[in-house]
Amino acid sequence: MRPPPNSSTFKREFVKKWLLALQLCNHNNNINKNDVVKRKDTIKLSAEIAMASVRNGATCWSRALMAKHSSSFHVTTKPHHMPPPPPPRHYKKRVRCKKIIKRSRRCCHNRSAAAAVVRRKTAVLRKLVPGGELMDDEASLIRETLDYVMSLRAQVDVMRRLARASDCVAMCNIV
Amino acid sequence: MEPQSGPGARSSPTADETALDSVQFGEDIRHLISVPTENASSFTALLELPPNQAVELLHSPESTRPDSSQQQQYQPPQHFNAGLLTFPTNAALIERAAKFSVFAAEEDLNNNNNGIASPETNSAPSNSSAGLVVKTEPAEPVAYLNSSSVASDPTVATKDENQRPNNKRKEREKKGKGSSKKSKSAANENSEQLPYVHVRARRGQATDSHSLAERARREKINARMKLLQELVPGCNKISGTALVLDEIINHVQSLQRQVEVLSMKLAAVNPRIDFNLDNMLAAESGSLMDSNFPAVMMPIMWPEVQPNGSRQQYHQQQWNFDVVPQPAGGGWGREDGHNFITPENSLLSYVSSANSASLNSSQLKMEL
Repeated sequence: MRPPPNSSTFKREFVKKWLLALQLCNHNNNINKNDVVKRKDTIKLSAEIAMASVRNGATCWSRALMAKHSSSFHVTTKPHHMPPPPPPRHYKKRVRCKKIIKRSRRCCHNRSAAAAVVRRKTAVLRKLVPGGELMDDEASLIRETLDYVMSLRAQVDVMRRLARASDCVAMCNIV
Repeated sequence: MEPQSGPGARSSPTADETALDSVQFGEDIRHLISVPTENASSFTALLELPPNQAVELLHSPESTRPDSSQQQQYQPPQHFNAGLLTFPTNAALIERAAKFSVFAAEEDLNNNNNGIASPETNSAPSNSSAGLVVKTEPAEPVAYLNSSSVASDPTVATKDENQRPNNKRKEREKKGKGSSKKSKSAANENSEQLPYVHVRARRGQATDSHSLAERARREKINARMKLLQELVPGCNKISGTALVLDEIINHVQSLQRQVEVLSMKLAAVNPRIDFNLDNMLAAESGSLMDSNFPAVMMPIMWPEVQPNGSRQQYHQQQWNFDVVPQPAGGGWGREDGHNFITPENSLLSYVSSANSASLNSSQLKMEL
């Protein structure tokens, strides 16, 4: 079992994998050092890949993220540099009882206002969380969101520290 | 009726029989009339008692009843009495039946039925009325089943006495007993399922499996939603799924935007930082044996590193100085405040670990 996303081991592992991914992106893309947007994209991509690889298929969102990036990543990288991402799982719509669905529809119809708002927001959340469209029940979606939020926090924390450090370095350079 | 239909010689015994029957019915009916008056009190007393004692009382009804003389007067013959005694032999079933509220309710219903039936017989104590009673009883088979299954009702005994001359009735009663046994076994199965149902469903909630599953699903969602609510800052005071979802969406979006901004920031800073990162990576890949970089790449990197190698050490040390004061004035820890689930010491431990990592890398750099 991978460490939970809020632990420091997660952050350390994330830093390691991020640097690995960054290295790969830098050396395989051979991007122009002055193109800021491309650099930013590379940094972001590598950070996302690192975040997903730290969770390493333990959760749906990391698998989805890997699957999403693997197509754009495999073009540029040699396949044996990064561990190949796990093959994207074949998601099929879960068959649920017709009676329940009917009843829930009826329920939605009865108090349509509140339910419609909740449904709309759930759809928005589905789009935000990677791989959320493939999860059809809300319980797993919320679980994934929990995990994703924790990982994002760790990522933001690490990046912020790095930015701060780089700022300091820049300041020192100026001084 | 019968005398008119048949010839005189043949009709006379039947007429006698009917007369005898009518006499017996009349006695029974009188008995019925006498019984319910104190039957109500005795019955309620029986209800008050625990089921075991009630059954015992039922086994010896003469001892408890005050009008035992009258009772003995109309007592049925011994063979029927034996049959009556064999009736509640399934005492275990009766006990179990008495335990469950469903049967208690049935008892009440049964009592009411008897209360209704007795005035009927009271109003017209004639042969025709007795026949009517006999005929009307099968018309409500449920009540009959109940009366046969619930033997704790004393009036059942009187009913049995009432039905004594009718052989068909007995057979039907036996049938009824069989069917009641079946129904009782079904009821017992139901009652074995009952505790689980009671655990899941509270009062006023549906108990079929679909709604149970739906409720379990909703509970799961709610529990996870609560967890998320604790996780997302400023969300634990909000009630309502829509608002909580709103907050969660905002939080996720803000985090994603932060990632964007930070990566932009990291990209926009002096490119030498990237060399710094590369150096760090080189150091770590040197320390970590599981790095899967081909050795060919290393020489490519070195020339880039070498020119500003003297400065790198300074930078690394600067990093260390920079990382340490962060938890004190750290923007991240302060922003989240108390809502951040990870305790402060974990942050500190992370800082120390990062410290050690950077120290390690700087040491490696010096070695290099």
